[in-house]
Amino acid sequence: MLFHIFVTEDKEATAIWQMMECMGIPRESVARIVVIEERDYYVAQVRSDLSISTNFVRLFLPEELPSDISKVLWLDSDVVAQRDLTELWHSAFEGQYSDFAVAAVPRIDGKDYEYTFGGKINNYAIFKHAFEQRYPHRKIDLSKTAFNAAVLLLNLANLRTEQGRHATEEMVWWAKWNLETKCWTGGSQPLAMLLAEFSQAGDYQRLDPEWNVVYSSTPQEDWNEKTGILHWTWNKPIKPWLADLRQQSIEFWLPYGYPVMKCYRKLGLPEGDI
Amino acid sequence: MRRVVFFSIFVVVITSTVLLARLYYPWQLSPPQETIHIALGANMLVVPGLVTTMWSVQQHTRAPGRSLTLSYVPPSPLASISDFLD
Repeated sequence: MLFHIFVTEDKEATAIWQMMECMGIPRESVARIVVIEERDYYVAQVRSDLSISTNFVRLFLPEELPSDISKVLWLDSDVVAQRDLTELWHSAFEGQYSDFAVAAVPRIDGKDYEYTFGGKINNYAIFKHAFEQRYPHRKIDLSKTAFNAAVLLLNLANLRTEQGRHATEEMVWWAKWNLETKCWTGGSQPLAMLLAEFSQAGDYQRLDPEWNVVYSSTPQEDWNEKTGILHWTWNKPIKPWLADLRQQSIEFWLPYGYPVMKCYRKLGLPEGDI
Repeated sequence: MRRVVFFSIFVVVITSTVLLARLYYPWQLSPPQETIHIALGANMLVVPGLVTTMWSVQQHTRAPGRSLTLSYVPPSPLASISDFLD
């Protein structure tokens, strides 16, 4: 297992190395920590935390990672793994899904593409019209269930083919388009869906829901210590590392986050709101 | 005498071959384990989250001779935050 980490400044790379040493995470488990440049067309000016390059770099991993890496699992920093990820790794792009470029877990709330491309003000019709103008002979099914890109498997070999590069180019075109129209507000998520849409398979592989269970304030059966990956999304509640440790919402985060926070405080690293 | 020497050499060669074959046979049978590549991203304020994600993955990903090392004890509901972190 190898980690590939992307940060915006050198000081973050230094902090991560310090934290790893404090936690006893072997240095050899990290292949690289890359400081990535800001790129104007990534920045949809909606929410500062969704606008940084490290949020969008997941979409450009075929370029950012060495060509001998053919597959990668992206994890957001507000998830914890509660099980071995080998099963998840092997569930993607095998058998009938070998031609797929993107694999992810469909949204549990069932929200569709129409919702994702419409943003909060429900202006998906603007997107649909622009899509039909750009591709007169192509249809997009906006009733498909959208996915959450916090746990994202990418078939890099597929995305480096001619069709895959085309998918990336189209995705970038739409990112720039959205800068002007501000049609959607979901950061990298709608773009990840477009990447899947323009890829060879024209869709994404649906992963088992247990690999991205999103926190909800209402009781959920699959929110437990046996689920593969738990995910604390941005708004409800605040991020676990900023929460009061006695919050019920972070009880499954604490077994991992508590020793990390002890190291973080010990090293005197900066704290604040995101 | 010559026969004994030849026989001894023969026995040594055969025994060594069998032992070496037994030693390397399982290794030759098992395919090389595929490396799982995991990408993460963070700015400074997300570093605690990123390291927590890494740590959780490390705790569960299969590695020979490694065991789960979670030693967390749930905090008492009456304790304050500073009791845990300071």
